[in-house]
Amino acid sequence: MTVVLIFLAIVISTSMWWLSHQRLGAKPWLESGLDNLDQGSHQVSLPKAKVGLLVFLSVIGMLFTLFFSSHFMRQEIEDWRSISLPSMVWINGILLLAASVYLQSALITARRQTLGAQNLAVRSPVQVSILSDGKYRHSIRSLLINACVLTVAFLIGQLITWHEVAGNGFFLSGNPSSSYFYVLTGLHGLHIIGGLVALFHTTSLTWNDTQIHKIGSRIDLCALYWHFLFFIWCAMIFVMLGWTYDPLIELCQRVIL
Amino acid sequence: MVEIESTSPASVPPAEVEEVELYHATNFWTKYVFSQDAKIIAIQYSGVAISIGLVALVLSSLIRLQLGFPEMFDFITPESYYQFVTMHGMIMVVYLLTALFLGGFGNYLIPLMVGARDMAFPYVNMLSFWIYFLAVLVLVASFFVPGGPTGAGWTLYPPQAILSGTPGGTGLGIILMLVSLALFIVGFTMGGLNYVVTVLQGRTRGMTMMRLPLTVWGIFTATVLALLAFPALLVATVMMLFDRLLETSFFMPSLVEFGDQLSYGGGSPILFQHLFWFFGHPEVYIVALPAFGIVSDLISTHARKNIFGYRMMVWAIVGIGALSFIVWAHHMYVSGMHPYFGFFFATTTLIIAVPTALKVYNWILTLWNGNIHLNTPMLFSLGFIVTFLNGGLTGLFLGNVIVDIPLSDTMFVVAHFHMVMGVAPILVVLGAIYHWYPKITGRMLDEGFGKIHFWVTFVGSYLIFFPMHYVGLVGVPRRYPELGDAAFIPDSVATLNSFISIAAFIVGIAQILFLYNLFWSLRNGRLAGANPWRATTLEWQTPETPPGHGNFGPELPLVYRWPYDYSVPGASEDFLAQNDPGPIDSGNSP
Repeated sequence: MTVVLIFLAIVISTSMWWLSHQRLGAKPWLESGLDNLDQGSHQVSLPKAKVGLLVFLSVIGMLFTLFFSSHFMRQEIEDWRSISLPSMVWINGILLLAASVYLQSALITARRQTLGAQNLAVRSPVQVSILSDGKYRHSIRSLLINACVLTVAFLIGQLITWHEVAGNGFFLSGNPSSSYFYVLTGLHGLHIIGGLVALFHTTSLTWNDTQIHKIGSRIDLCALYWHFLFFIWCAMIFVMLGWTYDPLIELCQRVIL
Repeated sequence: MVEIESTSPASVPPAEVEEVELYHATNFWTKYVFSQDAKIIAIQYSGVAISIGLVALVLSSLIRLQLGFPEMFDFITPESYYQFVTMHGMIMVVYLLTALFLGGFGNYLIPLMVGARDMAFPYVNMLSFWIYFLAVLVLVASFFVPGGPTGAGWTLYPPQAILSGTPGGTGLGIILMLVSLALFIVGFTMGGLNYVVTVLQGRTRGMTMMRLPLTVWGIFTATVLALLAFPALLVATVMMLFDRLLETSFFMPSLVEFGDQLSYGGGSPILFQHLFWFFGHPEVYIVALPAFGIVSDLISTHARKNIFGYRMMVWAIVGIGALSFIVWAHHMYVSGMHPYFGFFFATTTLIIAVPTALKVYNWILTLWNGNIHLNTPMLFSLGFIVTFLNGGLTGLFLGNVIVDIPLSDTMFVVAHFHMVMGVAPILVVLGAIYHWYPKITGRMLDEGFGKIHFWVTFVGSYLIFFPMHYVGLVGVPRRYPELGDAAFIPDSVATLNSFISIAAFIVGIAQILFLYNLFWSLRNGRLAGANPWRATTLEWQTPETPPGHGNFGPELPLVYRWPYDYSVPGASEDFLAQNDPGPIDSGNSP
């Protein structure tokens, strides 16, 4: 359970850090009035959807670290045979990373537009709408479509990986290492599919009249979710290869030395 | 009461954040059935939770029929006894208490108490209830499938949970149980996101974290615990479903069943126990922390006294929440763990008694010299303090490895956890219903019925669970439908068992009185008015009772003070509501 406790320690210390900024030492029975009203610091300065997503990500994080913990505990029993992963997983990793990068650049483009609009709005409000709808909307749309395509490709890649692993004789009900492989990648895939629904919706908004800063805040959420799932995917592969995976250690040695 | 500073309302700065647009229902279906209003969702949650809770109450009567009068009722076979025990435990802990405290009280009280119009994500909140309802339906369905519901015990330990020797183990029973739990967790996560984000982002102006009523602190912290602990149950559930349906061996060792070698091999049942209790122990505090919070507010209001040590109460809630994650293995002392682990978990278990005891002291000091109104909510609160203390003290016995080992799996454990997380939280639930019913319906519950209900429930619970400690101490094991002629069991055990059963039936029947009161008062109760208890928190300051859609009329309230300004000298009444700017003329009156 060490992995879970480490993750939990991170979540709890983040919460404690936030709480420590909430004047927990205040003596509310001695204070009255609205004096702390205008500081604005008593609310989290992020949009509430983002706070919601961050809380949700910590729940997902907990879910996966629990699986990792149980993986490590199960691994210690003698009958464990480490699974050999096909090289397809590395291509999948690159696909997911690329989707993540595309989402990030879509986010940057949307932010640039919002900033530009704010600067321009001071001078002439009419010009803004013409500019934003022309240039930025198009490039955001193509970036988002790229991200969608890459993510779907990732899912197909995962299915091919399943096929290859099964071809090598590792089935769901075989050695627990392969059971973990299917359950973990399947769960990760489900999360990706859930995210894709939101991403499709966001992409479809670029065809509507929805303002770019509104689309931007949605892209922000998608990008955060994708980065997180990429991170989980890396952790997952790392866990499944085991601490003693030789090629990985060799690679690390080569990078360091 | 010293007031350092008092600002007149004229100097209120304009709001920095725009008002949130509310979803307005247009027809009956979206207003009362697929409602996005947290208050309706709260009532839906509570209705379903209490209904399924009544099923669990009936199950407990059946259990007591068998234990009190063995071999008298043919329809209670050993198999059905196990099914009753399992479903009673699971329903009470998860589907009643968790759902009622967080889904029911959380939904009703959080937006009102923090001064919000609704939850942060009303649509997700609605989904949360409907998924919970689906989970309950799946659970109920398991009573009607061939083989009946699972009889694996509420802990669902493998390997027995999915083997043919356990009722429902090879049929649909266990599958429906696991599916229902998974659904519950998904639904709860949706609701939990709402409760957390609403407390973080939805507070009205002036409502700092340190001005939140302790009820909100309790529910908020419990929700954070639940969000982090329920995934452990989900992981265990998913893995066990795979073991049951697809013959993986996550938890299943190699087994020979009735002479046949099963296809399982090498799995670890202890792994399940770790996962289950990593959820299971925080679950105790998921139920207890809202109770702590609610009872603090009830005591303060009905003793007309500010809560003693508000800061300590907040810190204790947060501290208990954090500590509750590192005590789980005290449920596993007899699983063959390394003695040093036992030592570690015994130590953390005893440490958690420090913040808990601190809370009990603070409640007592709040009552000290208070103007105690012995009305029904106060009686239930006092009942809670005594019961929680009693249950907590036997917890000190069981928290020590060396005392736990002989007591493990005896009726002593059953008596302990029923006192501490059965009776105690239920007393708070009942007290809270008597307290907030006037706000929810606009009418008071009948006090006469209420007091009879309290005394029968309170005294009855002690008549049930005090003798049960003794039954456990002489060594009667739990999970046995019949004791037979064991030499170590004295005759007094059989007498006591009958006595306990009769007490249990009386307590069960008293709850019918309560239900009758709930429905009778809906029409015939005394009109409550906006603030019958003269309470300070924001839910009592709404322009309408029951609060309308959007809770607070055109303007959200501004919060000028903490929620415990009772018996304030110089105030026009004996209290100052949170949105009361205070006596402006006298300014900084000491």
